[in-house]
Amino acid sequence: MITYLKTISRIKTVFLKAVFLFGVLAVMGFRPDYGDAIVVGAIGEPRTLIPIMASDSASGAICGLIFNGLVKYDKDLNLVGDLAKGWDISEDGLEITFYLRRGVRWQDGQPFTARDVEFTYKGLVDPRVRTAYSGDFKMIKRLEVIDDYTVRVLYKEPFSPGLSSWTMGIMPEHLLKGEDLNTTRFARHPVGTGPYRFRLWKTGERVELVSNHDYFEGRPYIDRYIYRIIPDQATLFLELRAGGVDEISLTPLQARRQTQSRFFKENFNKFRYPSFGYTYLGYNLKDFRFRDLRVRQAINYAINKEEIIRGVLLGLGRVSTGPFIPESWAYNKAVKAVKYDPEKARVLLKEAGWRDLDGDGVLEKNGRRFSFTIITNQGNGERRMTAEIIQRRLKEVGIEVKIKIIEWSSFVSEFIDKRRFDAVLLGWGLSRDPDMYDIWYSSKTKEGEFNFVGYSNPEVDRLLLEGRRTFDRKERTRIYHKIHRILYHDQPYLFLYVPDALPIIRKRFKGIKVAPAGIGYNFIKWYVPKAEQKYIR
Amino acid sequence: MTRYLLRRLIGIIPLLFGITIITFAIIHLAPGKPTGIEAQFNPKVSLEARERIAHLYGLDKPLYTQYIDWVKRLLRFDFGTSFVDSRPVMEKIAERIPITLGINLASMILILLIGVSIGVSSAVREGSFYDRSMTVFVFAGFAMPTFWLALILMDIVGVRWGILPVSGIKSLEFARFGFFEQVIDVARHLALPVFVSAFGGLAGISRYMRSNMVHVLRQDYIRTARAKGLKERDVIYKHALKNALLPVVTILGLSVPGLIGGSVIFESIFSIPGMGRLFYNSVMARDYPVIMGVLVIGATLTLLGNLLADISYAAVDPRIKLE
Amino acid sequence: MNKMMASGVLIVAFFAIIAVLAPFIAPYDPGQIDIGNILTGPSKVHILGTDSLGRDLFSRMVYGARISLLVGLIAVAIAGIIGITLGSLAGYYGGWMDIVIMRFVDIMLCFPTFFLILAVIALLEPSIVNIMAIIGFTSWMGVARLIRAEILTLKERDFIYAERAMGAGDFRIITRHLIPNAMAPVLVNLTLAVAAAILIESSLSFLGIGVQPPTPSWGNILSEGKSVMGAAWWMMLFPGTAIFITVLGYNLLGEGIREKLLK
Repeated sequence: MITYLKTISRIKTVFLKAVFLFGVLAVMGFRPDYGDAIVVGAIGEPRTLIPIMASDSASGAICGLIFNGLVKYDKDLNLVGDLAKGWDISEDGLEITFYLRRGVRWQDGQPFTARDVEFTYKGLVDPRVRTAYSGDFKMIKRLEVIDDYTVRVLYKEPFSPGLSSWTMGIMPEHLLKGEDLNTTRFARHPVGTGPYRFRLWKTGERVELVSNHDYFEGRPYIDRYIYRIIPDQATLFLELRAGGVDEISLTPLQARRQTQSRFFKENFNKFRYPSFGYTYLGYNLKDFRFRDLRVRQAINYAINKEEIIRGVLLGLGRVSTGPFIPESWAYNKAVKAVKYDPEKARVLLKEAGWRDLDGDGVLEKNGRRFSFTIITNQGNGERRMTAEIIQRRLKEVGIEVKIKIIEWSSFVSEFIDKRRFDAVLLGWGLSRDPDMYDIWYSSKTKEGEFNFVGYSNPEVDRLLLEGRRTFDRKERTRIYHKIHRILYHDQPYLFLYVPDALPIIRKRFKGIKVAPAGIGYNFIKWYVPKAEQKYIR
Repeated sequence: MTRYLLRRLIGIIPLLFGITIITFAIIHLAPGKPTGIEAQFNPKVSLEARERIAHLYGLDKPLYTQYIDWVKRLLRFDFGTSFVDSRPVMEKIAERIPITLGINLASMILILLIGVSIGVSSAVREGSFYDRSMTVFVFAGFAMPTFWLALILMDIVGVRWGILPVSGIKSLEFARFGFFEQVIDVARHLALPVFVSAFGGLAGISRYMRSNMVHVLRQDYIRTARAKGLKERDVIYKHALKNALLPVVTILGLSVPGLIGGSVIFESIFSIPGMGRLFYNSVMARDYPVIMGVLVIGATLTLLGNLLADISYAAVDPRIKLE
Repeated sequence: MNKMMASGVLIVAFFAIIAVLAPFIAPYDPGQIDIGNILTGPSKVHILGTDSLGRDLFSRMVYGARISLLVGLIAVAIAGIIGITLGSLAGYYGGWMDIVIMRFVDIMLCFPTFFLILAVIALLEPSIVNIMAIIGFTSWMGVARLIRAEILTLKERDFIYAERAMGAGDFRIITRHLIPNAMAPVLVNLTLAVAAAILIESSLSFLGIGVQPPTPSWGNILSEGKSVMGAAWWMMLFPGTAIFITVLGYNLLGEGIREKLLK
């Protein structure tokens, strides 16, 4: 914890220095140089560059540079205009009117208009299109084009997450009209309104983008963005050292142990901020052992999350108490994690009727031993190690844990979807909007739905619905803080940790600033001074 | 000969049929569903959306209908489209075959050159210290886990010495290079992968060659040649080598299918976009059309390769008659 | 016994003894987690260092020898049994039995071994028993072909006719006379197959579908070593070397047997 604070303060001083320097330079009329290229190395290959079908992180990252939504999140995670310069929400919350930016052009020179918004909406709700994002847009009753630069969206009922759903990239009607979105060649030759335009995609090798000089927020300083696909973590790191890539995400071990040398200090900047995701142990609440609140709370006392963070993340993460982005307004900082207290855990288990009568070190109740299986997916070392630590800690309070690691596809369809598990170690990514209806609402328990633990609390149900209907930030804050508190008390999940995102970037890239939104939000302002540019065309 | 060929070719058809049925059964019986959409396990993806997508892929039809549909399309040489990115399966395979084929050919040529020389020279000096050290050397290649050797070499040659690129098949600036520079660039990128895969494959050919050669050198006609007073060099390279090389031809035929098969581990480590990664990713994502496509092409090539081996063996060895 | 075979025997025996005596050799419990001692280098306390959960690498290597060798030997035993049975049936009876079995061999050979392994592992889940079974089920074809070829020539020999004339049944002829006489090349093949099986297990571990932790195998220790490469050289060096030497040992042994038996 102490090292954590230290690092934070170090980051802060560096940050302040940077801000100061930046201010001075700005006063002197400083203008960053254009040019150079950034090579980002990553494991995953994008699937498609059609924004409404991009459901994996690689596709999402690249689409984000080529396309714009009507709205976007700024560095503090507030919604601001993007292709829309503003919007009105009617009193009753049923209508959102977007006022679009004028003079925006598609990268092929055609003007962007309200027709493109309408076209994108139609694609999203077309039953023949293989999009994964139709859910939020199904709440729309009708979309009206008022004129070329005004769009009115009418909802069936007040739906506050609706506004954030318009971060969805808008597609050009003139290029896609009449095309089958499932098979169009546009998926590999996209044209957007964004800061970068598509140049080439070599399957399994790289995707290359070049800067859009006519971008409506100004020409990006870095001329080329190259996304290199390197499917092995060890190779990725070797490439970083050899100079083949400029930016990757480090593993905690790499961040702590492999990048401390002088070589790294001289050539790289490391960043650190909470990632948008958390890891948890979800209980099958239909199971008679876990139906008992005291048992779930006992486990919460028996597991030392700090220890897991120290062991698995080498300290590069924080304890999580609820399902929200820790830096966001929805996260209730007043909910405090319980202290690690195995004694208290034993007492709670005893109260719940679990005793070790035969002296084998494992508790029993009504003749049944307290032994359960944690399942998790293959290919995630962090989860495996976390499970191993939980296994050892629970053994100390008399609970026997077995671990089963299952390949992803069958993990989801055979175990999660069919509810064939005692407890599951998984992680959720977190969207910027705190609406969690699909994960916690009591009816969302059908095969293939996401309340697979079977959580049901009428109060939470009510609050979830209220949260979706409310637009006022203060009101919503109150609602989600309350949900946060109830969930932590009910412990349907054992909330474990939020790992840190650990990007590392070559020192020649300047202008990068960490904010609650991470570092990518101001990518178009990153630059490389002329003298340090590496890729000169 | 023509009749033999015809009979063998017709014999391939039921085999292929069996292979497709087994494959189809295995991949559909295996737990898990296509993850084109589910991969991210995203709560924004509603149940209804997923069911709709399954319907669009035809996955809600009975299994035998799906199989018949697939065979019907196959008869028109249509392998269907990938569940992952909706591209035609043939296109996905076609863009990867040249890369895998190129690397495999390069390493096979290297294996042949080195393997045959080691085999022959060991056989000539059978039982010597040289023979024994070569045995250990080629088995050492076989015994090293590929990724272990690859990573160690990448670290030393690519990072520490910085004389070869770490991974990939071309530089970023490749398109701007002149022809000569491009050739050198590719050669530099492929040096490590080809070396690693050749080192691993040396044992097979060289041991085979050695035992053939040892066998041939004991034959009467070699003794006769020596007795005639021919120079030892001529005995070995003119008479013995020719005969010892004959069976290697069979091996070549049998390795035809191997030429388009890649290893996922090898390709992941060197970030080479080859067949191995395509196949592995397809299995993991349950991308049925791609899995079927790769396997059918692979199986066809294997069967043709076997045939080729038999024919070429008969062609070079007059003692064998095909009937 | 030639030098090659001698060194093979020595290596194989050395690791076999370690595997058998694992509980007496390992200084620590191979599953003992120690968060305070993550990835510490070789020292007096931990002679080969510790892994990413602070477990003693030496103890894990010693127990890993047990798992890795067991996987290799049992997988090969399975392959041997299937291959010998089917191969001798095909060779001895010929006719439709031969056609059916050999076509099946052809079909099996058309699949990349790796695909079959992946498919079955997805189907079953990667427990040690399943991994042994799968490697076994996918590597018997060579043995079947070898034994069939041997039996085809053997069964025309005089001593087999003599046996039959004396009233020996098929089963007796196959098991008492044909298989023992055809075993020499099979034995070589099986010895080499043990080496291959150990390598296959490490490849599966690389992909995360090998023997599952916390059970240690050389393969999964090495694959963990890969993910901590650069921070902990000992995690890659020791398991890699162990696999390398063992596989080499089985190969030398196999070659040695070949030279001795097939001269």
